[in-house]
Amino acid sequence: MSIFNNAALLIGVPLLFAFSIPLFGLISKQLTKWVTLLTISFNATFSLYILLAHKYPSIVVMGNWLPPFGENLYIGPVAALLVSLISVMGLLIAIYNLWSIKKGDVTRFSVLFLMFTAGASGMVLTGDIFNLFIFMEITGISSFALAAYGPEKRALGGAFKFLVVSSIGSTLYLLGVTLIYTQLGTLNIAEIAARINQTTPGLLTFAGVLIVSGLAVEAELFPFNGWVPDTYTGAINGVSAALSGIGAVSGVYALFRIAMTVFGKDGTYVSSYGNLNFMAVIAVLATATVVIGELSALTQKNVKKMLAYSSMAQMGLVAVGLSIGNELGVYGGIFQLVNHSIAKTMMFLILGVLVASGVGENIDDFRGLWKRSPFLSLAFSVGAFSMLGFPLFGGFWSKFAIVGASIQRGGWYDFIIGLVLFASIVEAFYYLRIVGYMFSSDSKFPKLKTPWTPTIPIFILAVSIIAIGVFPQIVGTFSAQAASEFTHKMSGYVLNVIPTIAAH
Amino acid sequence: MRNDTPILVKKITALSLITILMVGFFWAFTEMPKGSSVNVNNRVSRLYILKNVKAATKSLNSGNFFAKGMKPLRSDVPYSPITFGKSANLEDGAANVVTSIVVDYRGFDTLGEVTVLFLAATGVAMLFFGKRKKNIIKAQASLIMSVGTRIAYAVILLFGIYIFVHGHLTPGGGFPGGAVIASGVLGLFLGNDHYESNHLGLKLFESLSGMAFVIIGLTGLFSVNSFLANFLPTGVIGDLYSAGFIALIYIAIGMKVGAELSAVVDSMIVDTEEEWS
Repeated sequence: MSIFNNAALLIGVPLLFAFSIPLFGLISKQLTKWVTLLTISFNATFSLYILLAHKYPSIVVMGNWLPPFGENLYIGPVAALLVSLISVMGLLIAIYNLWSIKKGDVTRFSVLFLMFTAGASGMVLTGDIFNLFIFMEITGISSFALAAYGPEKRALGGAFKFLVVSSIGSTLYLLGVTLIYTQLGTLNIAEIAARINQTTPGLLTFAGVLIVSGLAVEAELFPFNGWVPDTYTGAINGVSAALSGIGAVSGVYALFRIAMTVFGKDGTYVSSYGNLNFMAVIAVLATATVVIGELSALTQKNVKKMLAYSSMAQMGLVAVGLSIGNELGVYGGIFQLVNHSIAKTMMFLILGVLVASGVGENIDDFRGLWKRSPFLSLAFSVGAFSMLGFPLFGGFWSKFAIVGASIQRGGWYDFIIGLVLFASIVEAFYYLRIVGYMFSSDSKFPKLKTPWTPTIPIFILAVSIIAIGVFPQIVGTFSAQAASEFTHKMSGYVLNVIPTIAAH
Repeated sequence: MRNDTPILVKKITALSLITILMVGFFWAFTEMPKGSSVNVNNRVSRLYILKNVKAATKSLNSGNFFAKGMKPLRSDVPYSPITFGKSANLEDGAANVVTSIVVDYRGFDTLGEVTVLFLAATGVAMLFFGKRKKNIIKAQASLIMSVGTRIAYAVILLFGIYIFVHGHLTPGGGFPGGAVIASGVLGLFLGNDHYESNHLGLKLFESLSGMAFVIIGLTGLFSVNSFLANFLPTGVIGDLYSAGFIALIYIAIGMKVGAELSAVVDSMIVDTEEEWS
């Protein structure tokens, strides 16, 4: 157990500045965007330092009460990687927001965006099952408000739907936590994980059903993801990018932290305690998500709605990879999560730039875009190729690993090979349709003038997709460490938090 | 479910979902194990009997806690009575047990809850942004109402402050205290037709008290090397100046919650016309 208490600054500094942004807003509204940007860049620098200087695994003790008596944060390989991802994505979207958010209540938007990023980081870092609920609330409430931002009426409808579904989800999660607490008398994830086999199986199963359905709302799994298309389409593009690049990451993380570490049973393939194997349940739900999401995306004529459905399907693919339950599967799932977050964020940002300069949201408006704006169409194509898993782009390696993992597992998991191929073919169809429209036809409209501020994040993201595609070990090394944390719950998590705890 | 699904189908689906949830929940309670069948000896919560986190941590870290054949702890613990107004330098020192858990042992959760409230207030204010006030004729408040609310406001404000200052001694604390203060502000809105709250003051209170909470936490990080750690002496139990930083945090929370709920009342009570600027 190594203690690294200064990492509490990852939560403390954003909170301090979020509370002070209204005061900066009294001086100048535009200043608040810079405060958000600088605070998130502190978070990004610090989390990248933790990741690259290998400061993990370590715990952060809150209030000087050692776990399991007080609260703690746990920085393992997964948390270090995902916090860096969330903060860097937040930083890039904050750069885009400098240009895109000019009208309306800029001050409060900055507060909400900062806390959305910090809340997602907190969800990934926390080592306490109730604290996870608090951070879910922080992320959730700020994302409803962000989704409602903007002059368009459709934003309100999407945000309201999200509000209702997500509130029900977090209530279910809290009920599940209550049931576990009645059994074990503790809220610490490490201790619950070590003692989970002492609970009554029936009660554990019911608690697990409640928790998994609560978290599946945030992770965008099938019966709980009705909010996705409306919310993503209604929100302004910067917010849609944040929802898919930041919010979904923390949702998937929380789901699998519960399913694999808290409920999990170590073995060659992780399964879960209780009467129901939650890993198999999630595999079924995720498969349904991929199929439904891809087919719905195929029928869309509106590019933004198509990206929303595609985001849903990709999260399903991430969950399929993680739910295979061996190291290669988790490796592929986490890798896919990183790839999806980068590519989808970039595509939403590109869409935002295009819409702001007068190109519509429909597929037909993309005709001849190559002549009008070569940079944006190239970047969009890079994102599309990464999405559908073209070799030498980021998405290839993760889909490859997921297929490899399902071959390793065998049995009825073989269907995942078919699923990934099906997803790739459908994605190829609808993404290449847009790419074809962009490059093949001619346009009579004049060239677009692209402002330089939003091109910085788009350029960085496009370069990083190609870099990951050519050198997959940039993400792969960290992803492999993360996989070993997820698949070995005692040595990867519990013993790093409470070293003296015995398994039984 | 789509928008054009018949209302009966929607209702039946909702009803069946609720039924499943209710049945599951009651069934789960029948599954609870009996107290005698639970082996408390191999759970960390057995150490709670020590009522002292430092001793419990020491016992846990010595490593033999989970060894087989460990005696029940009760006989090992020397019984030291705690006397109200006499016992000094206790571990937490708050006379109100709930407060000691909410603010000290699980203070990080409370910081999160304060943030949740702050974000909710911010979100509400953002949704109502850019909407012009509409002048509609309301029912006039009677003379009794408008005079009474102003007198009551002073008393309510004082009572709210009393509640959050004594959070570590009596039931109550920052959240109820702040809510009491906001109810006084609501009275002012109801009693005066053209009451305008001081927006700048509310904003200042909200921001500075929130920052005070985080700065207290950061002081803990830099002085005791742990975020939100108690860095003040805990004093004699039952005194007003006891329990270290709990009183400070509750004062910050009380001011923040009061200002925030007043701001929410302010943004929701004023009739507006829609206009996005």
